[in-house]
Amino acid sequence: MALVELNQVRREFDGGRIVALHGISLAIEEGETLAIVGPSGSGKSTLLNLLCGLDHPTSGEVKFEGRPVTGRLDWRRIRARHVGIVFQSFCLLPELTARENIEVAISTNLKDSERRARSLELLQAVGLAERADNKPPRLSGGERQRVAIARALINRPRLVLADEPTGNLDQSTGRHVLDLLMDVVRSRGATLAMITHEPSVAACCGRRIKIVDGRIVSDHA
Amino acid sequence: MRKFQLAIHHIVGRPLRSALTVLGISIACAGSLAVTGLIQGVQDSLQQGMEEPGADFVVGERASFSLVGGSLPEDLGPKLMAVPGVEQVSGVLFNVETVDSSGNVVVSGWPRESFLWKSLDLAEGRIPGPDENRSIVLGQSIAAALKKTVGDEIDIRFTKFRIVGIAQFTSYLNQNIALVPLEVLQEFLNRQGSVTFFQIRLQRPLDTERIAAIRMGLTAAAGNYAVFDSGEFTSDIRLIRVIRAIADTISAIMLGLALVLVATTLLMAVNERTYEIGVLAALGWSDFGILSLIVLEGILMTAIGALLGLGLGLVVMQIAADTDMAAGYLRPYTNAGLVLRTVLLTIAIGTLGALYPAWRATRLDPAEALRRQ
Repeated sequence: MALVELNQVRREFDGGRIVALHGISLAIEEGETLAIVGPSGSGKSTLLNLLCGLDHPTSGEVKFEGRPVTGRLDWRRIRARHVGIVFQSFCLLPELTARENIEVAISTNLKDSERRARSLELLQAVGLAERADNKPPRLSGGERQRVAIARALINRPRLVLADEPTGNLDQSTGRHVLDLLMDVVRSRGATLAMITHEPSVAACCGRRIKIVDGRIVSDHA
Repeated sequence: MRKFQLAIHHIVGRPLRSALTVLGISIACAGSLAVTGLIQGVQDSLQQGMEEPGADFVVGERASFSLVGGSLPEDLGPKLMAVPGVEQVSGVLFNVETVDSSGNVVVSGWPRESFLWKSLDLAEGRIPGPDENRSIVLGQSIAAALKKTVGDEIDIRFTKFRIVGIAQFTSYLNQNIALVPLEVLQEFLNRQGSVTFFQIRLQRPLDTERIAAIRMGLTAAAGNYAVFDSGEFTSDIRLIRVIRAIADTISAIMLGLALVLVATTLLMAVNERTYEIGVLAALGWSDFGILSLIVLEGILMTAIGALLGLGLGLVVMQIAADTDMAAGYLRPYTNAGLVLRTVLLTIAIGTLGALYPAWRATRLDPAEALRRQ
């Protein structure tokens, strides 16, 4: 059974004048690493948003663990427990420290000491333990993305979604962040779906799909 | 990172706006406390003043407009005295006069033979003698305020009265009272044969059944007039009820403004933090989590404002009580119930004001919100 599945999903905007996705079907298996490639405006981000309920299809069906999910609240629960998201623009809260940015995503009731220990463990894993008390404006782009990766993994998610995680980073930092993301995802047995423009980044994934004009035009293992 | 810490972060993160909001809430809370406290203080000091001489019942007009507004025939006194179980009856004539062209004083006229004179606790001097028509006894606070002592004269409506005694009272009303024989005040006010109310003292010992029986007897003897205990009498005065209604209205308006202030501040905060709320929603925060975060911010600001408002309210009450025109009538008044009511009401208003912005925050589309970085 696929972890997440899209059946004939269509997404329209502006009352149907813009069609971002034309009846896409896609199944992502547990433990899979998937790269989503395609030109700008092809519908990659819309697809990613649909995979975690940040957006909802105009028609068609999205299933998580074989069950159709339609409600906003159901998606909130799924995101809190099972999904970690890494955004291209990091999406860190500037007034919180690196550690607090990770703790804010913890979805279970934990004691303060446990929250702190879990966030520090992840900061250690991404090599930022010594920067735990720094706020995002005082971190470099690479460091911010590493904090975002740590945050995405804090609830031990089964599905990690990454929207061009290296898009705002220079080549060397991007490579380092990508290696780190792949390492931590694999070491935790999570499923990864990642949008990228870079063929070298896509090559790191076990499966690659290409989207053009809202349609999957290729799907290769 | 707990919600509480995050809420504190947001409040501290916008110090000027938070401070102005808290200030606005504290002014609203202070205003509410002050108007409610001052009017309760007036009622409380009236009640204490009525109880202090040891009277058990008051016979007066029903729903009299003001404390000085009653007019009862003096010859009702003997009829009340004839009721079995009644030990003493004293007519009392009340009026408010200007003293020495500056302050106001409550002048009370008591019959020379009244038990009220006998229960008087004199700090110095004596009560007016049988033939003295321009002698007066002052309560200790008004004597101190006017810097007068025994032997001095005071001017009431262009008539000079010699101070023959200074009396000690515990109630605020009586501390600021001036006492003269009843017939002197009746002549002075041209209200011969009339009193404002009667104070009744019952025979001792007292038990509940006997008191009820005496009260029925007094009610029958009083005819068109009503029998009250001191609490009923003061709360029956229409002027007090009117002022209370005005105070409650002003209080409600002020707290309503606090609600609008909290709602406006948090709406601005939600609009500014659309992106952040989008991030929290994307991280899987529930609607309740986001709603309670915004409401918590409202509660925190309102709670701080309420606490500051309590202090400010006491200062406002003191300033109001210290004005010349208010001396003897107004005093800072609070009790645990009033403080608790004001704080809880302010916090409830703040919570209510936070609900709409908080609800708006939960309706944000996370994907759209994240595009607003």
